[in-house]
Amino acid sequence: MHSEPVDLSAWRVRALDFERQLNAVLVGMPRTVRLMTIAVFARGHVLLEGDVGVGKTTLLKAVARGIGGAYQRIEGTVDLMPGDLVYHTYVGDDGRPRVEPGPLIAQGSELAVFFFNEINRARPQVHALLLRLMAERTVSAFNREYTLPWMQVFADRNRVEREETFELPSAARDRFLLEVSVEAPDARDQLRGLMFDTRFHDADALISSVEPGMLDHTRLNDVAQSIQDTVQSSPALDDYGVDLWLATRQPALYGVQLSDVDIDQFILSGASPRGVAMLARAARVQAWLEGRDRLVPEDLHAVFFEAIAHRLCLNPVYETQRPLYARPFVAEVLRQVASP
Amino acid sequence: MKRSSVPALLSLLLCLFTVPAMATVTLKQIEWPRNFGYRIGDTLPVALTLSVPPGWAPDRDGLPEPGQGDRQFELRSLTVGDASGRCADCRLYTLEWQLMKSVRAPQTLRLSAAVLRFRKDNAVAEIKVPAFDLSTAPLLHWASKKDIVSSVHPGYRATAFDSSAPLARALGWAGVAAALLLAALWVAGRLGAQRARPFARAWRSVRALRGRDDAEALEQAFRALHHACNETAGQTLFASTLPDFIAAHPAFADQAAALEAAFAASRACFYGLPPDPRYTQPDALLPLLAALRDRERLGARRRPVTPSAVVEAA
Repeated sequence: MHSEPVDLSAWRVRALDFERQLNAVLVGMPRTVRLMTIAVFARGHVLLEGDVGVGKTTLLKAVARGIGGAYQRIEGTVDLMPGDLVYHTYVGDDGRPRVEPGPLIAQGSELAVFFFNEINRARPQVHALLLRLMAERTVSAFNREYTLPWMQVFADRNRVEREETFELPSAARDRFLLEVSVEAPDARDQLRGLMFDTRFHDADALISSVEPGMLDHTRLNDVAQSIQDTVQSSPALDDYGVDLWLATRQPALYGVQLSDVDIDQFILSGASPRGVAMLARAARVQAWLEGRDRLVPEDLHAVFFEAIAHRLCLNPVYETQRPLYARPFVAEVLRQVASP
Repeated sequence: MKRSSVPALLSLLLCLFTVPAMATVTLKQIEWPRNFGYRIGDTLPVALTLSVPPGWAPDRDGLPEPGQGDRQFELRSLTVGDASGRCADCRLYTLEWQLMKSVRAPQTLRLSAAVLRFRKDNAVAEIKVPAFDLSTAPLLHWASKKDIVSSVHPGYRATAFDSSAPLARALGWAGVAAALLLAALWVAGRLGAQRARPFARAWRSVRALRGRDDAEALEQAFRALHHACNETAGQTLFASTLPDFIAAHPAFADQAAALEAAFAASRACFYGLPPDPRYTQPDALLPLLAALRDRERLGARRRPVTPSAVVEAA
């Protein structure tokens, strides 16, 4: 771990350059790119959701290249077991079984990005391992404990196919800083470019345009801490944040209404204390990226849906239609809670 | 009579008077039922508390039997119960009479006197229950609730009394109360069109802060502006949603720049950003609020703000 002082101004220039390079790779996704940048500098794990082929993997590979360090990817399958993440077993040339470090620990502490593709296809046992991994950034194997200080988990959830899938438990969802929805652009000229511009047909070539290791993953923890120490809140902003939090728990008290929804029965449990702490953490990074050392309500707005929506536990009646209700609910909370 | 026999006779008389009188059945209490409001079929329980010393018992045929009665009343039951709570030898005799007569108009009937007879050896005691008058009424259906009186009391005419004086007094006080309520609503800005004019209320509240230059007064002034904007928009307005607000309320369009400046100054005031030197006192907001008040009065209609920036951010 480094201990040199962090020059936040220089790091902000680097962060904005990182963002610019990602935007060159991913067409029409400035908001997604901003959220990924926030997650990188808040050192939070990200749950990605989106249709097939919209660029999730390309986005992750580009992020991993910009961060530097080791990158590992694993596919979630129904027969995947926790040991498969830690150990790699095979039969050697001599016909004898071999046990080698698995994807999580193969690179030791150098692992910077761990991509779990289609996490909801894996069983709850795997989710449980992930819980500890995300919370403590450690894993036990070969009679010792491996520390992964710079590791960030990016998990992808396929929202189209739900057969033979295991929904992430709320405790595991709560460990993710953000849940980012990756959507294909809808502007006509961008769609034309994606379709006919051959530059976008070769994802690997596209990703190679990102400067490798431009952020130096070994410094990111220090930078993140420095951002959190530097960007300050205010009593009025604190009150606003608490009101937003309470509105997710008792929406009726704040006049939040949704058509065709009994708002008193809508929420089983609102955002958790960890969730709102992560919201504040992400908002501070947003303020820093905007060149401020003070939080304003718009910083909270910028990350509110992605930081809070996946933590809400809805009544089972509405849970089955979460995509239909979650965004309008969060938007209504922002519309009704006043500040100052 | 010889003189010597006089003391003996006196002694005999004395002895006779000092022999204790034999205890007999006595009536301690009668509990009558109410004496009004009976119709055919109603029952009247008459409860007699009697002191019945040991050895005394009802004589044969000494008690009226159920089924007895005249054409008006019939005894339905006679029950005997313990009433030792009232006296050591007390017993409770309850005669339940039933009204059997149907009357055509309200009428007073008499429940005849009755006698209860008790015997102990050759001694007899009679308890006399006096007659009892009660009023009955015919069974009538109510033609309507409005005409209850004539239903139960045909031909009755109520005497009208003059209620104009207390009515005039009551109306006077009600008028005073209504005037006070209207005045209070006017002062609070909650009256009719006033309620739909949040910027007018904000202007008045900020005008009340004129002359103050402390931070709290400035915060109050900014809050008044925000409350008025939120109320007009029907949602929380932020700097990012001001363009939508102006688009939905074109009457305020010429104040857009001033509103943006005020919102920026408010943000600096509340969130610790460098303060705007133009906004150091509540007075600085008065021109903007007065302009918004005037345009609001001229008919800026309340329309929902099209969700854009905030909702897009979400």
